[in-house]
Amino acid sequence: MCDMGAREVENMTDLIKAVRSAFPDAVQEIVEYRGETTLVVDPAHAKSILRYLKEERGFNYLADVSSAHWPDEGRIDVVYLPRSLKTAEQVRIRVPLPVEDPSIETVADIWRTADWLEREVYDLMGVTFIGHPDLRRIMLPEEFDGHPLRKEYPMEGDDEWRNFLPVKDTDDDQL
Amino acid sequence: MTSYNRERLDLNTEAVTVNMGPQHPATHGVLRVVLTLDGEVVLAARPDVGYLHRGIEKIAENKTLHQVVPYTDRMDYLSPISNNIGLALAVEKLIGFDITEKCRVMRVVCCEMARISSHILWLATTALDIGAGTVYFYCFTEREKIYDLFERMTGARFTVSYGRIGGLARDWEPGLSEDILAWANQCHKALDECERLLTRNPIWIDRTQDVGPISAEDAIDLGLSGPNLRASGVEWDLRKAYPYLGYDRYDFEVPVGEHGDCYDRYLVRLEEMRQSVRIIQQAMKEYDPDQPLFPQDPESEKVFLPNKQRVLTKMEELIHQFIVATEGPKTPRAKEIYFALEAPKGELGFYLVGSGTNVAHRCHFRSPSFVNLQGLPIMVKGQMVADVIATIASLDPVLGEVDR
Repeated sequence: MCDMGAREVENMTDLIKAVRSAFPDAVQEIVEYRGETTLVVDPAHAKSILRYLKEERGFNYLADVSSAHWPDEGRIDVVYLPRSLKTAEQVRIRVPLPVEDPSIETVADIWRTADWLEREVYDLMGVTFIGHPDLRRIMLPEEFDGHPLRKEYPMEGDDEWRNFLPVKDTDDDQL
Repeated sequence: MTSYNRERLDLNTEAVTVNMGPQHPATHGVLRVVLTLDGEVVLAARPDVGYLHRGIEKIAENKTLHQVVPYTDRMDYLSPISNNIGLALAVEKLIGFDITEKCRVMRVVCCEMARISSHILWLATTALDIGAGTVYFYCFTEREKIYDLFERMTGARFTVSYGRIGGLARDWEPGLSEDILAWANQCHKALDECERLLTRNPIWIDRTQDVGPISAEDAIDLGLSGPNLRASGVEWDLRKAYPYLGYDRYDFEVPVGEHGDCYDRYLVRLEEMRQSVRIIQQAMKEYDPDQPLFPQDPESEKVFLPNKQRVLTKMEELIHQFIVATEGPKTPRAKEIYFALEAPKGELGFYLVGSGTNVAHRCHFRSPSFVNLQGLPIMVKGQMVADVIATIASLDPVLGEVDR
């Protein structure tokens, strides 16, 4: 059910070879699990690899942008899932970032769908996307403190409600 | 048409900013759209989401995987069964267990019933938003029949929590499969009636044709999925692209639109319902009530829930059920998978990362409505305010899923 056909695996090896030859030092690791290929990529080259995938290899659709926090290793992974709607190929690009300064260049200029997906990662995980057109919180209010999907963020807190400013009577209300 | 000379009439020509929502009935939940208007023409629209954010991903990362099932109901609450089954399939992929043939068939039937119930509610509310009140009653009559079947199947009508890792919550009672088939065989009547009311209705056509259009390039670039993507002429269906649950064995077509406007999105959804009926009819031929719902091999029995009937009658099985339900399956550490299924709204993706324990390290839900809503600004630019209502409705966002 979740296995890929032999042809697709062959295509995937072609793809990995092509990425490796175009960016010799960028791919740190290749993981195969349940028929899915993950390329662990150096943050400095991540954007150029993603641009290469879209422009040279026909990965015209960005299915997902996600993230994962690994407090013990001190890193935050940003995970992209580009896909080609023509050949149904997809590959996962995982970019490890240091937890002290998790920032990476935006891909919103490559796929516009990354706009909101990156805002979600910024809001909930606290990753800064450099050059993003409109980097604001999307789920939580602008004045919220902290990033809930980080592992150190508590499940139950005692003063979260302070993050929500009380509604004040102002002159604007007279409208 | 009269043309006005604005300067001579001394009209105020500043752009006006108007808030549509978050409590507007036609935004289908708590969606706020900030509109910049020149008279009645939309210059820019900025959707503002997050009013219904409950941190479902954070909760899911602190519960065993069995306990996450009811939370998925509350994402897209108009097709909860698809969400349950999507989560179950994702977890099964992560831990590497297979399910039985009967379970696969039952899940296909459930998914397609959820698709019809979601689309038929969409048709009802969209028609109501646009002003065609009659359609609402035909659709709700039909939806009521589906919900009666869901009630018999799951014990609940709305948030069903029917999916289980490795199977489904319980077997179908005797006679239910015949009733589902009987309902499926008459379902086309309601669809035909709605079609007669709308498809050639001049008011419906005026309100939907060339309203909220989006090109195929834009739709792909913005990550639209499901009927919204297909209405723009992109033939992309996860049931065909990455067949899961044995969808490759069923004979069905993927309806594709041409113009990407509200009218095409309506036609695509209408045809999808008919195709779903076909899938249900085919699946029912393969349904065999005597087969087991859960896998019977000893390895699977340690992970999946035991047969509900035996749990209710035998002590050992009750203890077994207790252990499986409280412990849940162990996830492999630092292994990651992404599983997406074709939910009624589009691509519902689950990105799971294992932790080595029974709690997932990372549970990310890629919800179709969230991504689809990004298309709204492009669709409504240059259109009238009234068209914004029609366009939001035609995108079929469910805000429980957008905000999670």
